[in-house]
Amino acid sequence: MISEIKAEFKKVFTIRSTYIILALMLALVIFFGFYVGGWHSNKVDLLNPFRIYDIAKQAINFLSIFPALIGLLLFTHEFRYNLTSYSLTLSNDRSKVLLAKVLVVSLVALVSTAIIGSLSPLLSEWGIHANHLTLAHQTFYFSALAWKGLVYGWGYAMAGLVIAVLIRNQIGAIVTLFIVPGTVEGLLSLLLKNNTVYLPFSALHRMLGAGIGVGQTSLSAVDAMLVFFGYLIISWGIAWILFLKRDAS
Amino acid sequence: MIKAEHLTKKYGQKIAVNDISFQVQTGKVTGFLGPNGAGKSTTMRLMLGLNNGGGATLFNGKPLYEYRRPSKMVGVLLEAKAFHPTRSARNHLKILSTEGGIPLSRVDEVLDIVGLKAEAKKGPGKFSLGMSQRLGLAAALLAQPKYLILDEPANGLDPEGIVWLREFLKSYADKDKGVFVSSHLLSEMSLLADNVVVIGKGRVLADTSMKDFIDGNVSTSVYVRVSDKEKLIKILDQQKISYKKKNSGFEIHDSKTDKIGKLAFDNKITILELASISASLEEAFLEVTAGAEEYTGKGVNK
Repeated sequence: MISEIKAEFKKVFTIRSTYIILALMLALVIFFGFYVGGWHSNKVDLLNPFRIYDIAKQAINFLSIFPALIGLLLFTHEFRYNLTSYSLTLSNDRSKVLLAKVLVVSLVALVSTAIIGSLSPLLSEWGIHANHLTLAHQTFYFSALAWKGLVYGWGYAMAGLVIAVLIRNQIGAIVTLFIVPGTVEGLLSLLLKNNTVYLPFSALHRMLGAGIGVGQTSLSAVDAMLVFFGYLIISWGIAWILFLKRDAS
Repeated sequence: MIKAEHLTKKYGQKIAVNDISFQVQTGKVTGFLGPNGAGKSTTMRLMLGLNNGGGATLFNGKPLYEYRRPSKMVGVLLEAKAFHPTRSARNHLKILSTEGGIPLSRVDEVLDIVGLKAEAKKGPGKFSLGMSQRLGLAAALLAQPKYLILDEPANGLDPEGIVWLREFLKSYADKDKGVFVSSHLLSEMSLLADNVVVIGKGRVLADTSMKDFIDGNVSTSVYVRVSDKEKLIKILDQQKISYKKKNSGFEIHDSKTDKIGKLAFDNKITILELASISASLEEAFLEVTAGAEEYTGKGVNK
């Protein structure tokens, strides 16, 4: 199992796309944190006592797609470039191969989310002070941001990975990851109205307290997390069975 | 020994591999032949557990997944272009080494063996087909496995590369290891393989030694040129030996040189030229797979 995990780490960090995605993610953290959330703040924003807390949540909400994309590419590259014939013949258990990917993507997602969640408020404060603006006294729920942010970032990455395992086709999986959370659930919200929160990504947004349909329900953050986990467990169950049973080609 | 037993694979209603059984012995190169679409690649994938289907394949008596390190048992080359195009050749092999529990020192060794050491830092995306094959072979050799399963490894190799591959695989098998290799290059296969498994339309058509396969499926002939043609014709007719005129001599069917030589000597006919016409693997292959082709071209008279 250790061999599989080490190999998955090497797979992630020996391709260009990982570094491009991480660089883009960091550039956007700086842009949103320093410029949008700091330097360019308007007077109303500056009076908001949760301004910095909100910036951190928004940054996690917008940027968690990047680690999810790394996870998605880690899996779909195997099929796009026929690497799966090696992975599955070098290991004696397909489940180990899949679990190694889950663990590695989890770690990448948690570290990335921690970076986003800690850098964005710091950069925001810096941007405000650099532009000689005055910010109202701030209330920052550190522990709430920590668990919600990490669950959100990890959950998004697991969703990206499970989409990849189910679809396998790289383009199809990327398109699905980009359109389901916003476009598909956004359109479904026209039908479901307050019940939109029971859709997977809307539940994840509700848990974090940022994104689509957040204010439309009284569902608690923990309940919203459980709704999302329900989808995740079912979809991972199906994905696992398919990974074991499908031809690796 | 690799023992493939009752391998079966269906795609919907179509049976791609139909109850195939055969063996790959150590110390020998076993060629795997068949027309396009015969099910060669699918069979190899079934053997390795990459495709799910019926039957089982035992490597030294156990399925591959029962080995803690399957990499020590079998090395595979199924697709020449199985690599990430921008990940360097060395990193590609390092990942496979890590995954298979193989010392990283083997990476440079195998790159040296296949002649790619100078290209180790390059992304293989721009490699030629021949270079890609060499990288694939390097991956298969990483753990110095007991068996090699190679799907068309000679495709794209230059003549020097083909000769090198032939000698390398033969010497690999000589170390009490087994090599199972498919190829469409029949002349090359006839020089490489000791045994041959031929499949067509998902069934085994032949599973024997290369010599027996050729001898058993193509009749041997003798070419003879003599001083007294009329006398030879008379004797051949008397003994009901079939022949046809060829150039200034005769092609005598189902015969060997010693038999014709003795016949001429006994009848005091001077032999000017006597040679056996050796049968080729291509002829034997076409004979055995006649009617078992999945795809056939038109416009050429065979």
